[in-house]
Amino acid sequence: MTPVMYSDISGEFPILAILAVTAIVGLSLTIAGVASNNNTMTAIGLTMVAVPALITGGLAAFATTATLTNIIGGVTIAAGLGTATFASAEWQQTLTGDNWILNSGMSEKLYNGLMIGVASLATLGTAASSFSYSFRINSIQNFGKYGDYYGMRFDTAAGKTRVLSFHTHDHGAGFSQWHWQLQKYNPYTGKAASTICRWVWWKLWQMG
Amino acid sequence: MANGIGIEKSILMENKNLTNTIDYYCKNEFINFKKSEIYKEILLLAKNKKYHINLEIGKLEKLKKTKWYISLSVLNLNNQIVEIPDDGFLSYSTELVTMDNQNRVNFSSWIENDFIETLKWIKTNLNQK
Repeated sequence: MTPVMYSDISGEFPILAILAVTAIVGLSLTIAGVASNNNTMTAIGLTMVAVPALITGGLAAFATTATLTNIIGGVTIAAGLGTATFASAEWQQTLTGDNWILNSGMSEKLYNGLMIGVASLATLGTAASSFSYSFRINSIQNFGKYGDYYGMRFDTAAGKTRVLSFHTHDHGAGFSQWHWQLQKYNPYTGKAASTICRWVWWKLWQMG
Repeated sequence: MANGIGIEKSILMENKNLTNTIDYYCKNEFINFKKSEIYKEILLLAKNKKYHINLEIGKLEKLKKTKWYISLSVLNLNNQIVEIPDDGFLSYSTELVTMDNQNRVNFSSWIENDFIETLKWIKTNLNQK
């Protein structure tokens, strides 16, 4: 029986996942800030969304040649810039009482709707960019059953085919937790080959 | 114009020089791989376990590319690929030739890190099982 190995070849997935969690917390603060009419909370929330979006989007767009990752990164950067724009207006309102976007004549309803919409897209983009960049996803081939588990088959920028599944089973010693598993794949025989790494879903860092 | 493209495509597809070159290259890689130490070791370990090896060159056609692979699989007595529970099947391949829809060809050696790493994994599992 092969034990679960908490190893991550690159170490990027956990680091980028932390940024995605930061963005989710930021989006929650943004929504809470809007609901309670608290500009400071909204400004902090938007900043927590914008910075991770620009970092992960930048990596996904420019630090790999994987096509799908580049596209996701481009969208995330655009949403991150949009979020940063709203953040600048919220910080201005916090510090001076003025809001340059609202001063331009935009209605508050449209302003809040656009702000939450753009921040939501940036948060989603941060998670997608983190995920796609970590695995250098060039194109998604299929979602289906591979061996005993359902997963996603994709091609990497290096031209390799991989399978990522999310499942639970007993690993012996009473161990059974939901985890990600990344495997190599033989496209010629259609079989998933050796396991590259596994992560328990709620642990974002290498466990050794 | 449509006819012109059709003629051009058929000429490219019937390019014997290209298909012969690809065949020649794949056969040579196949022979070189069979001479390699790692293949001989896997073959011996598989025989000791009463398994056998299926080694082949094959072609897969995708949307815009055609790829030729060298594929190695370890088969049991029922001719099924041996599976290591929760790890994967003892089967892997690497690209030898990639041809795009413009008939531009890229040749690769079987000697590449990912393939060799996986062959070592197969070897390790044959040693353990």
